[in-house]
Amino acid sequence: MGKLIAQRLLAMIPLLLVVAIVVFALFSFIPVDVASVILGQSGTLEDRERLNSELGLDRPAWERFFEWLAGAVRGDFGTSYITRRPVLDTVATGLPITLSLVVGGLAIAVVVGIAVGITAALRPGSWLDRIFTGGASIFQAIPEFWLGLLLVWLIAVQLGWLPAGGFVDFGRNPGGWLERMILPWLTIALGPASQIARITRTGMIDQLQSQYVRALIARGTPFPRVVFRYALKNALLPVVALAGLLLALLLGSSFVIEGIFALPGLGSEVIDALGDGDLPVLQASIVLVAFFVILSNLLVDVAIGLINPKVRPQ
Amino acid sequence: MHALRPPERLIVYTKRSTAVTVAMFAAASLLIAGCTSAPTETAESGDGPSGVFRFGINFDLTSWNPMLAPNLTYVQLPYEGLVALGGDGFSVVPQLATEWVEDEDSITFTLRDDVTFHDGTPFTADAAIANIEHIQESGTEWAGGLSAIGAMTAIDDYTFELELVAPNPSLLFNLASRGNVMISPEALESGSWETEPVGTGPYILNADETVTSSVYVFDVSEDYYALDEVGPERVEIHYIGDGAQRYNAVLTGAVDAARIGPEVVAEAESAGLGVETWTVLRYHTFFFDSGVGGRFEDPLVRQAICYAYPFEDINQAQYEGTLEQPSQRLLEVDPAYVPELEAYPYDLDRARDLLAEAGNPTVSFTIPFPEGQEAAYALKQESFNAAGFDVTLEPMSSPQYFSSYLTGEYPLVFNTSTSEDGGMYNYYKIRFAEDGGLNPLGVQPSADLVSLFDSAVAAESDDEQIDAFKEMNTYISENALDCGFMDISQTVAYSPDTIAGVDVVDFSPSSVIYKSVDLIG
Repeated sequence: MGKLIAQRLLAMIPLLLVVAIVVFALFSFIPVDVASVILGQSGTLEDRERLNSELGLDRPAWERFFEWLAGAVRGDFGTSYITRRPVLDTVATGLPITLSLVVGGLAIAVVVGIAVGITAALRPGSWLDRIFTGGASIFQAIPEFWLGLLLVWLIAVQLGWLPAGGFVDFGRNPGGWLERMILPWLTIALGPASQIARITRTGMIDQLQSQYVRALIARGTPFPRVVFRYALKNALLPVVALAGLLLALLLGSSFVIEGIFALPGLGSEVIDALGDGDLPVLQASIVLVAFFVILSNLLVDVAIGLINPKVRPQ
Repeated sequence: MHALRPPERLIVYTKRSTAVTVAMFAAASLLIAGCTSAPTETAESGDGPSGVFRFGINFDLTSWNPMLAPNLTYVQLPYEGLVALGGDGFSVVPQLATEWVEDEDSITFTLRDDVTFHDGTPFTADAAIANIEHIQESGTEWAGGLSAIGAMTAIDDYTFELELVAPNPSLLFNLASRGNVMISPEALESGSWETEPVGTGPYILNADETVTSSVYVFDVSEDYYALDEVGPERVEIHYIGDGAQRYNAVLTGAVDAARIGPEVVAEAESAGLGVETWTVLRYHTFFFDSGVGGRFEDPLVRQAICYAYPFEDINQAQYEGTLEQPSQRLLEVDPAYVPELEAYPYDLDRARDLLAEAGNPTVSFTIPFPEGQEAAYALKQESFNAAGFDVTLEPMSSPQYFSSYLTGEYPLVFNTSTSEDGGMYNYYKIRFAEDGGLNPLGVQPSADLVSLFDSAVAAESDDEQIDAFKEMNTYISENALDCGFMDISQTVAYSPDTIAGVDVVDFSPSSVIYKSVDLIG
């Protein structure tokens, strides 16, 4: 397992390099004059040209890329064209917020999805099962941005139970942070929770109908132990794999959800940077997202191997 | 399929699990309720600033440089200028300068003697001169607005004189504009001014409590020279990009006021929110390609565009009928405003007749437009094409639009510049002068227009100058050098439970005057 992890970590390097090259090449063609974005309607043509030169934008693209790469290897991702802040500062500010949204949402999705899936599997065909299955279908179909707006309207505006959006630093006010994360978490989690519930339900039904489970029950093994110690363990394998895929998807979803709930995460920074042509911020953010996607895939493989050594990747 | 029913003890287990889950949720709810922030402070009676004003805005702070992209929402908190714009957006009122004396070739300013920058540096004549030099050297449009200033001399600590190398009736207006605020000379020298604001304004940035791209916190400056004029003790600017969420934020009390779009104004009023609407921008037509051989060289062709401009359709389709249609670029409070001028009425038949009179030329052009303006521009395209033009549209993102429309690639655009609000002098210099910032093709103005401008500048009295500017105004209208005027408004919704209202400055976007907000306590 250690060898696998080491190999996968090494393989990450060329992958990230390819991502960096693709991102740089694609976004170099964005038809946005950064100097004009900075100056707005101020500034003469000469001033724009001077500013573009100060930013190094009059140099060849390959030269700018290798300069960026040399810095990135040392942990220096350059300076934002727009804010003049180090890119690392921007990313360091936004990344924890995005991760708290994504990881928190995924955790809720997994817990709720598994719980619902088990409950439905224990009562297949019952009214409870039908409600859960139907609900899962609905939540899977609803677009996240619409769900987010619906939750805001219902819970924040109509009922006044939670704030409509905004962000409070956890260190300053843990309760305020928590109450502002609940709606974003629900928005990001309900769709994936539905997927996890359906897969868990299917897996549990298969396991509970298998010979070895019948044998365990016949031997007098307590039923909760049969469910949680034996059946669930085997039913979880596809759930773990799905969770890894979902992490990558949720990273993408977070870009939209951060906008809805005014969360100053990495997604909001990326969208602003895209519109402004702020390539250093875009480059670093997307490479970072790619890093986490690759890392999540590795973690999924490790988790699968731990849960069931028989299917451990070689 | 035979349903697998668990033994009874599992059902009991499940019920117990459910009870535990409910109890945990209840405990979490209590924890949230106990740990949430205290209710918003409200103003207390008595002297001095008090309370917190929370404002929701739709654009983030990208730079503290007052000369860069529009950031008045943020800049006006820590910064002030020598003079300021009055509520009408045109008149100039004292601020750091208490009075000034103008003569033919100089202006002498008398400054307040009780002002310090937030870093403790005293505000003196030398500091004012250093700032004006800094702006002049910036190469931005703000430098152009001060190009008439030559040598500057500090007469004493609180008096200084500007020598004028050329007449500029709009100079005081320019000094009152956003890019001309006073920055601490020490901050200018160290270069920190672009990332940390150090001004003389009523508020100081609280960097510790500020969360970039989320909420910007400002605390009142205890050394501010006019603390008795300041209402809130603290101002929080909440960046909320989504319009629906900004509206929800006011509705739910997360902020005291927020900028809202025209589409929710009626809803806000019926929900019991206070609403303040004011005109912020006067859009108009830039006939860039009006030089010799250009598409819009012929006044008849320009007039055809003016008659084909579907103002009312745009008003209804894009702006919920909230627009006003002025007749000219100058503001109504401008002495050179000509009340007799009328806006070109919408008349497609007249437009077609004018094009026929011009020989039915084939006039093809592309109009760029930023996101969010699809309905308005579709209507313009449809109407212009119906009149006989050949118009295509090019949609683009806002940053792309603002980086493209002045490149000279587009022969006609619809836009504006707040600097033009400063009167005919600015309007001519920026829009029509060969080297004007809004004349990307360098089109030479007609000899008649140049002559009128020269007469105005050389006028020996204010009345004579105003008359000359009025003549220019009439000439521009009659020759359709400009038309399609459209006053855009902004609206702020506020909670009448927490604030009594907001003060604003006309023709100044995002110009809620924070220090004068009256918090209800």
